[in-house]
Amino acid sequence: MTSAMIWKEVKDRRVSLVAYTVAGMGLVLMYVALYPSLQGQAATYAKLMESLPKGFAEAFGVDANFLATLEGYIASEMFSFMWPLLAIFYMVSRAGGAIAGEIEKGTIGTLLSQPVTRSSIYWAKVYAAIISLLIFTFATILTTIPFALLFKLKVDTLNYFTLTIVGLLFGLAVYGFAIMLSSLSSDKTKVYGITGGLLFSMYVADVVSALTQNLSWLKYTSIFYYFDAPAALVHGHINNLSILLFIVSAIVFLIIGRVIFTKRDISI
Amino acid sequence: MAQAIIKLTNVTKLYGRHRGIDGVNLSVQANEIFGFLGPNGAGKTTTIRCIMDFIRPSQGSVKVFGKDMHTNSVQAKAKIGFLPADSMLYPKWTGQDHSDYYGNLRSNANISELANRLDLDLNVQVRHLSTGNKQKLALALAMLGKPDLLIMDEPTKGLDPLLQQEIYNILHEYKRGGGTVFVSSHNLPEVEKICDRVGVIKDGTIVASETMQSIRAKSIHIVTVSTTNKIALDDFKSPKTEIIHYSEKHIILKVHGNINPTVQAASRYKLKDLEVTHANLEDIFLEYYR
Repeated sequence: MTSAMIWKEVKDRRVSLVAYTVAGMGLVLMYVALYPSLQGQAATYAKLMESLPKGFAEAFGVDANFLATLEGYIASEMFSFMWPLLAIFYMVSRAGGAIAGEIEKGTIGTLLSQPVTRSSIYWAKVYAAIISLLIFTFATILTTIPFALLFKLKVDTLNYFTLTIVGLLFGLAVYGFAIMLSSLSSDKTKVYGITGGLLFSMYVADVVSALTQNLSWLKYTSIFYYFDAPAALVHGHINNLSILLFIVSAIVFLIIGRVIFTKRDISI
Repeated sequence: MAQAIIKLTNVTKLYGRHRGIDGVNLSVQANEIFGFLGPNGAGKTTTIRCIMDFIRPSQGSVKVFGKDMHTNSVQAKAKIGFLPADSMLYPKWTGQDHSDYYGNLRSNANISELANRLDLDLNVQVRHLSTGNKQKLALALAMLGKPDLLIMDEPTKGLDPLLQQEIYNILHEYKRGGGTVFVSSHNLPEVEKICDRVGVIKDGTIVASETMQSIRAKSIHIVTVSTTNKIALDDFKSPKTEIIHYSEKHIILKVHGNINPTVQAASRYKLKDLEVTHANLEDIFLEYYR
């Protein structure tokens, strides 16, 4: 029964999965294609970056030598901003549509009248989202490797897998928070609004903390501080605290979401 | 007495300070078609949502097939077919997709037989179906896997008379096959046609639960008196009499119970015409609504 519900979720949302994945792969291809022409100007860029205020480059996750390697470049240009943005849009839209969206449209009524527990409905939606997240993350991050080879660029293969793990956990934490809100609400726009607002505030906090010395503590309140794409992609480093934080928050939010969904009134 | 298929005991649902339903006691016996009536906002849908465990009562218990709907709803739902008031199906799915999906959750049942009978094309996407065909599909899905109990919230809303009649036939056949039906409706002739027993809810409280036979036997008369002289209104006033229309020489009354005092009052006048008729079923139901 649960497999039927998981398959239904995956099948129903395949168009958005393909759209987000193709968009992500397209951006990766664009950045990889641009890199050979920028690589030659690495020294010029390094000088330019050094002339900027210290916190400025840091605020946007750009290292002075970011053009020295494909990993440094693509981590700064794609995986520090565009990729998290795509992942956030995708996971929040998945979560919003999964419960709040179905309540809003009334389609959840027939499902709730079937001999299945609310808990299995909830977990089926979560498992389906995890499958989609796996496809999205693997496709949009690991696709850099064949694209780089296409342009005869050197790649550090293992680091892309490191980033994939960080990316998966980041996406899961975002989804966990959004599905928790979705379980609570009957209006998907509220899920989008609240999650979007919170993540935007976190992004601003991350930027402000890098630009203002006495507000540097703000970075700890931002999920973007813990999603360190350059560390994973350039140095193959995973921050244990980040991993722990993503895992714990994902589990806590998913469990709270499940409790809310199984206990709440659903007026359809 | 046999175990009730649906049993609500003192069910109250509060929405903040507002009471959705208040102390509802209701039981539906096996193999009966139970009509659930009430004006808009009376608490019909709230009651159905409580029965289906979509919302949880603030107080009281809901049992279906002897199972508590909060703790054991899965076992009970395996025997329940549900038709919501506004069936919201997946617009991009075909009828066959719905049948496959929900059939998978109910031991691989399918709706092809009923779809054929209803002349419903299962290969068309729901968004391209007419209101009537959507309702046919929703009804077929409610009957998926041959449930023992059908819970239906206004099943014929927006349907043409032919289709309404087909649904009544299906429900009668379903009953003959041993099924039980709990149906909410605004359509009083429909209730009269299909129900064995009715419950009436008003302001969140059950105000009547009776067989159709006993409702029909209710003694309510409409008395029309036309005279050649002026009628004194006080002659006809009594706690069991309701004045529907009054003019100088003409009065129409609704009389509950014994009509003799009213007829005697009329006999004191020089009558031009006197008509006494039984109130129709709609008038009787409306009595409960007031």
